[in-house]
Amino acid sequence: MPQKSNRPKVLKGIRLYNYLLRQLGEKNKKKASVQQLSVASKRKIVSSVLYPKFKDSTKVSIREVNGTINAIIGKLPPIEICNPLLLPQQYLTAVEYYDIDNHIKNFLPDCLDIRVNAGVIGKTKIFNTRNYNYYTNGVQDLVEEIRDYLALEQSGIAYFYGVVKVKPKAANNGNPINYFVDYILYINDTPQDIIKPADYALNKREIKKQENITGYFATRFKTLQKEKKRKARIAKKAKEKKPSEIKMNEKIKKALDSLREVYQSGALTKAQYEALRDELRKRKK
Amino acid sequence: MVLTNNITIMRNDSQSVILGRLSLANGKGYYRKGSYSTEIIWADRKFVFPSNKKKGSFKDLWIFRNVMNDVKEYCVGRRIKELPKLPVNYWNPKIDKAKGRIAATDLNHAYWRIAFINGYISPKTYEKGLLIKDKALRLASLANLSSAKQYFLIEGGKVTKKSITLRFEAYLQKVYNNIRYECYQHMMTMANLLGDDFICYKTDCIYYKQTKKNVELVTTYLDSVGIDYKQLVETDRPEREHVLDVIKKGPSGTNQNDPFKNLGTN
Repeated sequence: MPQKSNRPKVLKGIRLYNYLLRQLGEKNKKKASVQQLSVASKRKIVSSVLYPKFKDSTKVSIREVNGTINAIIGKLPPIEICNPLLLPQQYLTAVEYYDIDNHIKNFLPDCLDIRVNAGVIGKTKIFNTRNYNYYTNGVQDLVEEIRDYLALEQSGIAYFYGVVKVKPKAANNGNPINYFVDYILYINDTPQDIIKPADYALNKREIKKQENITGYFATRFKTLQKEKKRKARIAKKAKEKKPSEIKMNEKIKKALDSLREVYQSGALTKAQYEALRDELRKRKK
Repeated sequence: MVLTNNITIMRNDSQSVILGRLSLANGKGYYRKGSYSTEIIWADRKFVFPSNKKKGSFKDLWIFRNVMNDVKEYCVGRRIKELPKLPVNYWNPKIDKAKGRIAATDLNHAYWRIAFINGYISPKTYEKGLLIKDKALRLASLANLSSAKQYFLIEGGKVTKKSITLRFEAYLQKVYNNIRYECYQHMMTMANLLGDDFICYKTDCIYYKQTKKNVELVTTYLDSVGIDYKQLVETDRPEREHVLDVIKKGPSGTNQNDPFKNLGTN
């Protein structure tokens, strides 16, 4: 009869992945002062940081895993980022209507109640960014409707402005659960719905907390801007030339080659060659 | 107040919306109105509203940032030494009244070229800048290095009279001054070369007695320092019939007191 090995089993593959995910969730839950991560965020951290670190190890010690997870938890932003009343208002301002998905996904923390509101065009329900999905939350439909509306109105200038409001039938008592961010659409600087922000004055302690989390949002906003610029650059580069332009350029390239051959044979002087070459280059698109 | 790259460019009409939002948020901001754009700084986010009057220049506003970045990059690890001060305009003290024909040599985009030659701006910025139709924009982008900006405080969504002044670093001012003084230095060198034939210089244009030797002296000097120029020469006196014709029809918008009104471009 084979003897049972005393060596502890080394977790591999999906078992290791699930173990790390569970550990991360537990540690996050224990530390209530930091942001509570959504399942998607936890999976992202495990996939990008934890799993690659431990997947090839022949021996994974619990202490090492705990140390790594604690370091990650320690870097998480404070729970206050989930309080709509403390959000820095300047960053909720002037979000291009076609960029709202990017804004929700990459700028807002995944623990915030929001609504996308285009007034008569339509509005979504209040949903939490933790479960946000561009398609299922109705944001895609709304953006498409706004696009059609603007095409009819022949105006392309529309921005969303985030306003912190009290949830229907909720008390205006400063409890973060009672508030949400309403992204109201402005077309040609005219709001499409009533702007009625929550009338709640922050106390000194809350103002201090607000100051502490501003840096976090500033960094996120900067990253978002950089990413947007990068995408714009790529799009500009990738902008395809018209087929007629490509054809034209090929013809000119051939003509330039022939001209060079003629010049090399000695039939043209250098000045003549250069003049003809420049003339051809001008036609190139 | 921390200024970062968080700049959002919006339509000029949207100013009221941003001011309204500031008022709703009970936030403080800063406001500045310039000839090319209006700026609102809300915490560490900056909103820029290009002027409607200069709509054509809107697409070229990149030049301000490029020049600033280029100069800052140039200055990293360098100690900028300020050049000696020289006057913008200078007349030959020995000359009371210029007699005979006058020649003038005007430097092409003098400050811009000097900034490029000295490496303050990159070749890419220099070349792209030359394509800008509005010359004033190019000059403004250089002058921006030394300008102090006055911002008015926004309280409760309204612009107050309280203001603060933002200054850029002293080394940027030195760079701009050096560009200017180097231009005047070239002028002064040419003045010395011309001696008694030198009449005056005005910023980037030098006036002197028109002789073949003088023209050659000035153009050779400018070629040697790599600055482009255009040579202006005094045209012939108008015919009597032409003068009568002008008197009949009236002057066509020329300054009658301008001593160099007869100078034409070659």
